[in-house]
Amino acid sequence: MQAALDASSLKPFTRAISCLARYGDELTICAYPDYFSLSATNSAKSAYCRFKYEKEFFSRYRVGKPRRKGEVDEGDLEEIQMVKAQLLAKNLLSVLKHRTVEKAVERCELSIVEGSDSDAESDEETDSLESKLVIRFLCKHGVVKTHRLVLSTPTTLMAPGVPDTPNQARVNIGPTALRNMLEHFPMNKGAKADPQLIWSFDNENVSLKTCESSMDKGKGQISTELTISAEEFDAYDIYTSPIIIAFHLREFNATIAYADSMTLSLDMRFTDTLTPLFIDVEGDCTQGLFVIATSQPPGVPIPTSQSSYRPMSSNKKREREETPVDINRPKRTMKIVQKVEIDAADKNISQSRHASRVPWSMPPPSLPGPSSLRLPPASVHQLSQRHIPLKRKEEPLFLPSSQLSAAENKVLKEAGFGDIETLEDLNALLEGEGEEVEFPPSQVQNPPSSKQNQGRNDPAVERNSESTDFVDDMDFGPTQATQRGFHPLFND
Amino acid sequence: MPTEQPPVLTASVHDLRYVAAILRGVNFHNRATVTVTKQGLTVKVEEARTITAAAWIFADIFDEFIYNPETPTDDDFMRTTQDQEIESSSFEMPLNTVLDCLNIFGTAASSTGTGVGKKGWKKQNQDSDRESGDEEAGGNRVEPLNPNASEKHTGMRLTYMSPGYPLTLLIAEDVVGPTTTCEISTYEPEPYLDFGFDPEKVVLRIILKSSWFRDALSELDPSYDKLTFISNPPEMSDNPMTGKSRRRNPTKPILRIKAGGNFGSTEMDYPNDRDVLESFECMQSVSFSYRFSHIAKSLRAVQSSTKTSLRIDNDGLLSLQFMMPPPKGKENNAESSAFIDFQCLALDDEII
Repeated sequence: MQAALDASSLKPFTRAISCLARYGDELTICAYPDYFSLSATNSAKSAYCRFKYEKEFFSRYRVGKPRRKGEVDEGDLEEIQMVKAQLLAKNLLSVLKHRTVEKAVERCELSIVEGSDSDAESDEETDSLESKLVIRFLCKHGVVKTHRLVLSTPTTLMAPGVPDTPNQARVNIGPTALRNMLEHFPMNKGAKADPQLIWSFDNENVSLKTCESSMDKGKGQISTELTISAEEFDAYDIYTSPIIIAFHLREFNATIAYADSMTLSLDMRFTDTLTPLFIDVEGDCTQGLFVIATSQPPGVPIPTSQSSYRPMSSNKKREREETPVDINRPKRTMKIVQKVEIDAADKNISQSRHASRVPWSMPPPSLPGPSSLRLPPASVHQLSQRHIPLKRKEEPLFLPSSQLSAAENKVLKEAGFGDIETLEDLNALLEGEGEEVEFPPSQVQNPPSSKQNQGRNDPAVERNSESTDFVDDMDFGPTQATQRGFHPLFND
Repeated sequence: MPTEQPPVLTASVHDLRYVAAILRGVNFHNRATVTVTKQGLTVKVEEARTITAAAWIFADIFDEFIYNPETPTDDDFMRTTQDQEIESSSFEMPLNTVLDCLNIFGTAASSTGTGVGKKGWKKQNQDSDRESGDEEAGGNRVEPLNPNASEKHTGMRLTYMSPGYPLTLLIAEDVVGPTTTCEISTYEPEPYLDFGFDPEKVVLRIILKSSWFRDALSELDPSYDKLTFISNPPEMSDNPMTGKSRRRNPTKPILRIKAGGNFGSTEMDYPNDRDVLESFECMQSVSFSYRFSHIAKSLRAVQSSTKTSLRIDNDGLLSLQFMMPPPKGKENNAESSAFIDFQCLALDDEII
């Protein structure tokens, strides 16, 4: 892969890399014949960031081996070539962000040298087994600086499931307006701090509220609420109202910072409380896609229109009283990305390339286990069948660490729960402390009422493996199940 | 009787920042040997028997510089040097402590705000403190409390009585401000490691603006372990005056600085252009490697200097000389410019 950037497009490129670096440590590079993409996922897999640069963004762009002089150009007839690689974002950033780069670089050439085609670098040292990203800065006065960064081969691609629902809400707002809204919420700057805000989108107003999580208790945190008119938004299209979503700000702030530096507006898409937030930031030849997992805001009454998705909402209050571990801590409800085997992804790309907006990021349909796609009603039944065998498996559906943000996880550790490594551990812990037994079995059996995958990290689904006892009760409404489930354990 | 003797050295300066900046340039090892002659002071530092640095501070940088050679006695410990042509006295001092003392009012940090390029240097110095995070936590990171403090000058008077006596520093923040007296223990000097750099054996001689060298060093990732200077004699077709050179064979760069480590490598090629290399003499193809952590120790010195002279002899011994800007008020007197000399042994290629 070779690409060249001139000084003016190098700056936006660097900004994108800084944004990616705030999302995750590992940067995945994918070079397709007609576009170049960079993506990163945070360690909790609850936020995903991808930049796509069209071919035209670069002054020169070509995927494949460098063309030799006199070589007939037959590359176009070959199968679709694609280069994938992974490297540490901070290494690339430290190269690109150095202050001398901005001052003196006139042109920047990026190329990926694969380990095998060693003859391309024959005059270099013999160490050509590793693939390398070569960044060549052509500076003033003819100074040439060449950085070679070692690349690793990604074994899995992370890709978010993209919802395709008609009832998606879509709002558009500029970064400055967002920043003005957010600056009213005090952020402590520490590495641990990862504040959450609850956003509720109404027909006329948008209100933002600090989300008190268990971590902040006892700190005397100020609870702030801000309401602004929907007119502040450049576009405001809410399907059902109100929509309440809560998400962490760390990655969101990175997105705002990028949009701000590029003076681009943010196009936010969301469906309901439990589906992730999608943000598009589009510029010339550039597409930024940001996906941030939403979490379940504590104590927020769920509107009736959505309560069918949330059969366990009625027990929120009780949990809070009963569980010192504070299970109802707002959780990142789901991993928003899934591992996709490389081969599968390749196939998927070639097949569904033009199918939808971001087709390659769809997990292959053959993936076992819950899919994060929201399925159209027609396929719901089918999905429920797939779901049932799942609960017989004894293996953990998730690890606790996957549902907590990194910061919260750390706190758990410090609180002495650091040894929670497996589902068994967690269950053992929960058992002793009056867990929320109100798991309604109906959720398993009643597909429309459960968002299978979204609920993956819900306590309800945690209990899947144990809850087969309740299968008989499946016809009970959620309330009944709750009552029945709770009493025996309260006696402890 | 020593008490009746005048002190071996008395020196005073009205603005200590210049001296502090020079001392900071060699502050990578705590124990420094100071040699006093009539011409001035040399402060020498050595580490790992591989790298040495010497700062030359000439007498006319000081407002007052009085050197009284020690009276020869029979006592061996007095380390008199009467048999040498130039009389000198030397002692060892903890350099870090001295720098901490100079910065006791937090006013030594703004360093060489004296000569060229005053603007922006302060920031760069701060950067370097973070980048080249030495194992010695230098106290010179203290920022001035008052940004205008640099308008006032912190003066210093340095007194060294004779061997066995402490080094006395009298530091006054202002004429009317507070004063401090520091007494710092001195030690008997250890024999100084001399690599014996022989200008006759030089195979590569380059003079370039320090900013080029500084950018090159600071752009290299701190995790790199090896740095190589590669240089080739210029081809006849190259015309250094116009800077236009034939497209060179990439295997024969004029000057290439190359560094590498676990995460990758970096190469920087410099053309034989008068804007870049002020002078370039290369007798034969040169490629010598050094430990990057050693070369990086010169970063602080290169940051406060104006010009860098890079020489390598045929054994790979590297000599880097950094010319410091002349102190304020003495710009016309180039003689008084201090300089810092680094020497570093090359890695043995066969061992690597």
